[in-house]
Amino acid sequence: MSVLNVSRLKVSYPSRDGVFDVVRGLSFELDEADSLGIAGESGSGKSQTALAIMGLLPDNARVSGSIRLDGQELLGESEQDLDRLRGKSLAMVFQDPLSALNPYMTVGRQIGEVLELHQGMSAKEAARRSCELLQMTGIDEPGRRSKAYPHQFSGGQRQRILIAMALACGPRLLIADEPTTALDVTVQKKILELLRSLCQEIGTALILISHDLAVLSGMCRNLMIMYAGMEMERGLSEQVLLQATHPYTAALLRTLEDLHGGAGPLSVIPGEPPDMRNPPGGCPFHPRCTEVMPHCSEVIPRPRPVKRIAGAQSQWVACHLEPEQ
Amino acid sequence: MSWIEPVFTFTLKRLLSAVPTLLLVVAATFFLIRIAPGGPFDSERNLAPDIRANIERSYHLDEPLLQQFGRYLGGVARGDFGPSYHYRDRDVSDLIAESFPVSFKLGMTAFFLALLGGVTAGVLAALRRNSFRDHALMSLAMSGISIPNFVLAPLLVLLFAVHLQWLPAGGWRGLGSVVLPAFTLALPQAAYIARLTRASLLDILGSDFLRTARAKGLSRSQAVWRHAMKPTLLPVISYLGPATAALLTGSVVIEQIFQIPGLGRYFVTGALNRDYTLVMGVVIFYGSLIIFMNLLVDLLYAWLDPRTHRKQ
Repeated sequence: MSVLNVSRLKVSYPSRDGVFDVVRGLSFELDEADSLGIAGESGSGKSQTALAIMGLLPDNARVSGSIRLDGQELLGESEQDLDRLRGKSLAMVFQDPLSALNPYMTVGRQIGEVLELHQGMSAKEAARRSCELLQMTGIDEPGRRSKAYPHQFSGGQRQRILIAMALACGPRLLIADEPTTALDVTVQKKILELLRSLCQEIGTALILISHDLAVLSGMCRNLMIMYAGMEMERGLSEQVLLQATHPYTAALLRTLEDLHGGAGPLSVIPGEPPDMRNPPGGCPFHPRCTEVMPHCSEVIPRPRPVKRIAGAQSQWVACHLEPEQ
Repeated sequence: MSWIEPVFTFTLKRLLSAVPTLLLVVAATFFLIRIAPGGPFDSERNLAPDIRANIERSYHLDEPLLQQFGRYLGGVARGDFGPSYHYRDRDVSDLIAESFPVSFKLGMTAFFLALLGGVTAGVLAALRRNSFRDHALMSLAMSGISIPNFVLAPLLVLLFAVHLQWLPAGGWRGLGSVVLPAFTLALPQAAYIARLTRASLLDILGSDFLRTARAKGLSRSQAVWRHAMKPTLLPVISYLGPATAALLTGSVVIEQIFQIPGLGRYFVTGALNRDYTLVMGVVIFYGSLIIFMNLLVDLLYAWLDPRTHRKQ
């Protein structure tokens, strides 16, 4: 049974030069307690996808397609019904823990607020439970610290607090949008470990968004590579990494190997990410692709299955190139 | 009560640092008004020179300026603002005590009018950014800031007192007589506060922590009330010090226009009559009031913003 079912998701914004699409027909599923990493360059539509699932896109965004949580359609749902789901079944951890907490409210209150809202706890019960949650996320002396304000915590601690807040009601799905980008490298790993172990403990499905393939592959069972608002490749993490089928994935992996490999110039993907106001026709990656064929600029490739493991579909790729036999 | 000690120290420091400020204000006023041509007894007709010299001697006006200044400071230190030169047999302290309650009532009405009206308008405008409501409120605010009170006051009098006859055109009798002067006095401040509130709330509405609040499942209005109001009001609160100063300055003109027997009118007539002691008294009184208000505002701000608290 899949927790999340996204199909043909499209997000677009009207502008003076016409409507431009930032997410262009995205489809994927996520099983209960499973994990999916979404990778892509800035502007590839990762965060827009996350906000669309949360129903927190700006007012002028136009969304179409379907987003189902436990079978319930979220698109077109009333704000009141979405408010009932957000924080309870659907939770999100944002990129910058320094600005994501209200600086004028004690962290205990900020966590307690979710519990009062969704679980009908009294202020006293909520305060006690927030201490437990702080303890669970590794904040020492939670009783005393819950009465402190965000500026009295380090960046890593603040992200722990935000994780405690997001997991307070045991959500079905947690979306973490670059949760460690703003943090020290030394803290990143600990936060990611915490995120993974807590999600497993609670049985929460996790979507982790990052531009760091290495982080994603270590954290998530599944991986999706996005480019220009579209899915390029998706599958089990190890398969995508070891048997990358899409030229874009392969190019990304080469840049990664160079970072961890020794001498020599860093390999880069030539060209620039597409301008979403005027994306290239056909496959959006074709102007930068080394394997480009004539019809790549004309026909948009749809994701097609390439591999099966134990009878289940395990890898999809959106490319005209035939896999080597 | 761990907060009492730092608050006490802070207040004491601020009060001590207010002394040189006030001294500077007193000195500037003292010498400036004496540079102004004429003297307190020039309007009296045909005073014989020896009588005039006699009067001036009795008020110590024949002494060297610095000696007069020292004498005045000595008096002020003892809480004595001296006798008025114009209103015979009246002490400046009496005049202030008598007229200040009137100005206080007018000022406080205007203060709360400006605060309530300004914040409400600012919040309403920000919540519907770029709507008709937003544009209408902000145009109104712009006019409120641009139209001088001596233009607005006669227009309001013409409409509400002369044509509609709902409210008195001036004087100080009954509640009705407070409405027009308080409104005129409050309008520019309300307008400024509205613009401040709007900008501040728009800033907060776009902040990450408000998005977190929405992600927790708070509705838009819940998120605004619980998470946005306090940070929105902080810049407004820090403006309340300067707002008080502006209201005091404005009241000088307003009281003149509406013929209100307040302190502002004494200040104007005092300056015109070269009533040195009266002008000095009012300046010191208003100066202290502004310093006190600023202190109050800073304490309030520190109390509201946890980031200014000392680490425990």
